[in-house]
Amino acid sequence: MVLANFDEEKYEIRNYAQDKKNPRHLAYPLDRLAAQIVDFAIILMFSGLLSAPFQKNFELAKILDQVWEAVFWFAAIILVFFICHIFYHTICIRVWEQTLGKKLFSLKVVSIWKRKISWKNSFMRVLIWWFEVLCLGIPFLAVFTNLKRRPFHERMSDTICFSYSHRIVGPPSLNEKSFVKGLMIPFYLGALLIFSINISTIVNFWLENREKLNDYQANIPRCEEVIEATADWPKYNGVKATRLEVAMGLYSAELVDKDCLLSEAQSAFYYKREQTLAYLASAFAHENNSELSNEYLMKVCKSKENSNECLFARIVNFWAEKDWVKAEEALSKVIMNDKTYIKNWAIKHYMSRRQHEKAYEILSDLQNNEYLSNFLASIRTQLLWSLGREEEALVSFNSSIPSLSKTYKRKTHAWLCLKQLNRSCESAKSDFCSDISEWNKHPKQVSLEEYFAQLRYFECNSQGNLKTVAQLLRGQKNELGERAFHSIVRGESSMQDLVNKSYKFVPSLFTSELVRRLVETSNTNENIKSLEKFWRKTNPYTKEWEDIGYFFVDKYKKDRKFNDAIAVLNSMYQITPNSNMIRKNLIVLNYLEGNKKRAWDFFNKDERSPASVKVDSANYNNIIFQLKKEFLKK
Amino acid sequence: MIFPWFQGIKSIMKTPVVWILLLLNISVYVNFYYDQSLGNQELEKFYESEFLVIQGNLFAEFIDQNLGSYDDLYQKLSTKVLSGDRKKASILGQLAVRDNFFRKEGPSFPFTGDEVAIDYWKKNFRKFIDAQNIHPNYKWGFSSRNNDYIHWISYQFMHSDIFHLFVNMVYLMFVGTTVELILGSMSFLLFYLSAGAAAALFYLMLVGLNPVPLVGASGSISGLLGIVTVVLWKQRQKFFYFVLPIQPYFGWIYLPIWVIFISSILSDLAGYFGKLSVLGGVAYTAHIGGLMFGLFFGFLFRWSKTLSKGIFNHNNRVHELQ
Repeated sequence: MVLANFDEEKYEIRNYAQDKKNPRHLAYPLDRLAAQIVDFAIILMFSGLLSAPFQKNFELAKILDQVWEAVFWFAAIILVFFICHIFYHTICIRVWEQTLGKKLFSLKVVSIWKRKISWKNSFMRVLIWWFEVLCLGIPFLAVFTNLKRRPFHERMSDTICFSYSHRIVGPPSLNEKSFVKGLMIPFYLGALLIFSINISTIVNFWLENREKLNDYQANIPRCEEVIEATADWPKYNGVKATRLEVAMGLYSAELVDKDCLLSEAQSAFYYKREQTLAYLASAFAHENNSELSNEYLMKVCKSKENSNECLFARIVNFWAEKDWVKAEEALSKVIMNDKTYIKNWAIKHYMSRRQHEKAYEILSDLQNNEYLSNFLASIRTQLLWSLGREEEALVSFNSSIPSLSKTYKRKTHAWLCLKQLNRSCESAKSDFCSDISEWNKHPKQVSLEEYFAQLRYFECNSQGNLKTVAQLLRGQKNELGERAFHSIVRGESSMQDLVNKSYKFVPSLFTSELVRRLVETSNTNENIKSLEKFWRKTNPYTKEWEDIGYFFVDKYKKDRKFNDAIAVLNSMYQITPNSNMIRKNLIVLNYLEGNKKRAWDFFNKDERSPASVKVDSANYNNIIFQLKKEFLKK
Repeated sequence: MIFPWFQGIKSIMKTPVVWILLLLNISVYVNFYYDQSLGNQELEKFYESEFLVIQGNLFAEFIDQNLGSYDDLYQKLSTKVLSGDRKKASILGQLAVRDNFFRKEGPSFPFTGDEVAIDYWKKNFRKFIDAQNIHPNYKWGFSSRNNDYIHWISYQFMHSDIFHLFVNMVYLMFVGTTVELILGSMSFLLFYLSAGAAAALFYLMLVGLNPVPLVGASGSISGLLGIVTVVLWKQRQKFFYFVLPIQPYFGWIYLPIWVIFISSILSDLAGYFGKLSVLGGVAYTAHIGGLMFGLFFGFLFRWSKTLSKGIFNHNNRVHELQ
């Protein structure tokens, strides 16, 4: 083998000097590339036919999720192509000194010695060509640097490719050589770096997924979370929870998706187990298809009328009809049943109805469950905070941190940070807001809580200078960032336009945040009144509707317009007559406005614990004392 | 990539049938475009909804009860679906659409389990069939429901989308022109339609009829390729080639005509042996059928001048080409 740039005279080998009858030039690199493409297409056609049965098996394995079989058949397809390629090149080069592609572009491959290429050299040439492919094709670049434009596979097999067309190319110039060599070095280094990084990633991925792949092999159904949780799910009165009950529990805590729940329900139907619960599960899972969901809810009661599932299906209907009184009556009955999924839904119900005491009571009654620990810790923190037991909330959250998943930790951090920042900017230095800059690393995953916490954080740091906030937000690549950026820089009226136009299309939390800002910055009574009018037209059965109501109450209280505040609170009271917070605010405001009788009437409706938030408790106690003094005497 | 140019585009006076067929195909497509879009939208609604998954679940139960009628793929898929695999249920739901037995027996089959899903499927299955019935490709394509004499011809003029139509019409223009110059107009028309019918027959024999229709002119065009290969076997014809987007790596080249035949037959055979026909897609068998028919007639034409003169109105221009 002649690896060096050979000197024809010195080695006494085939002379490539120009022959007038038989002009031969060094092969033009693009001709060689084009010839390879044509050869590839030809080989693909033949290897495609030869590997057809493997392709069929590969498709079958893919459909059936047989990972190892799929890998095997894919490797077989590649192997067939590889063998075809080697045969094609070895035979063509040995027999005709050119392949069809090379013939098309007037190229020939000959031995550098004065004889025909041997079978061995022809075979070695194509084999080393594949080795060059495995080296990311970098050795091919020798066609730009080698004096005779011979890549490694040609030097190893003592061959040379020349052109007998009129496309003339000489030995590579110094510039060409240095340019390619200059490119090759960083390319090599980069490739090496990427390869070393990727190889560790691939190894890790392999190790992590080995078990998972084996599970696929064993045909285990899709919902692995349920299988895992069922084994350790707490027993109630010595009775083990069924898989479907576990799936419902996990679904209610948003820990599994609807596909998982439906898979479990499907299995239950097939094996004719817990059909009533399976209908209920299907109703939940098809919540986006009201026709189908309603059919399932009806079927629950048809299937077993006096069951807890039927009662719960009725509760779902009451929710849909916004009949809160009936829903809570039914909930109080069904809650005795101690099914985890029912309790989870009950907690969610009472939280959205702002009956935090009731929600907390149910939460305390729930058994410890490691699979729900994330969900419960997050809920517990939010409930304690909403109940005004802020220190307890923080202690509870901090103690649960070690067991919290990254997502839940971030979510709860954001929630707490937002709550603290809404109260005072000093909290910007709190632990919960400390990793705020980390949140934006994956803009698509940023939740609304995180986004608004960031917005508030920027406002606090820029001391309310909205232009600075706008500049900071300009870098945000998500849709919410863009919207808030425009809403802030375009001023109050455009914000109102935004609220009016987009209320139905944006998440309620977004709207409530915008309205809060509008109310805070509005100077004229007309603006606030028009906003209140807008608020009254919107759907009152959301948590955010009540939040927005409180913004108006706070604003009116600040401006000492107690009657307006009472009007807003009365509207809220009609929707949620059980809310302690609304009732207490009504007592205070009616008293301050001079409606002492009305305040006393509201006080007499007090049948609940005095736990409250947002009401100045010293002021409240003083007012109650005055009311008692006045009315009890009478 | 090589592309046949052969004789290029000739005037309507020289190759009237090619132009008529071309315009006919385009006008059929334009005429049915609105109905086709509407039909596609209607069917898409079913494919995107829960219907397909529910259908898959029920089909799995159906397979479970009729194991003898279904092969290994169906049985394995059915086992997975019954154990709660919803992705596979969706695939099985699509396969159910192509299964004559299920379509016939399914609506009256005593399914057990999720009664709501069964009722939902029964209600929507009727609507699904209705949506298929109004779709022009189902109406005029060659399928298990529509296979009377008119559909053997009509399916050749229906196309699934604009790209399908474009590719077929380009081949019709260049290959068809050469064949019409060889055979003469009326013989060419007769041959074109017969090749399409032969393609459908071959499809029927190898794959069997299924409710998803066979559409497109590619069977007939394969026939044209077959006949032109035999008649002009040794001739070098003009092709357009494209390797790289710079000169001289694209342009015109004269290659023996068998090059295009070999590449077609190889890719069709690879498709036939390498793809799962139950999943649909390109009807390779129809292509092969068309090619076979073309080859057969090509040999008849070459070997029996008398016969060719008797059957076809033999055009003297063929001698110019040979």
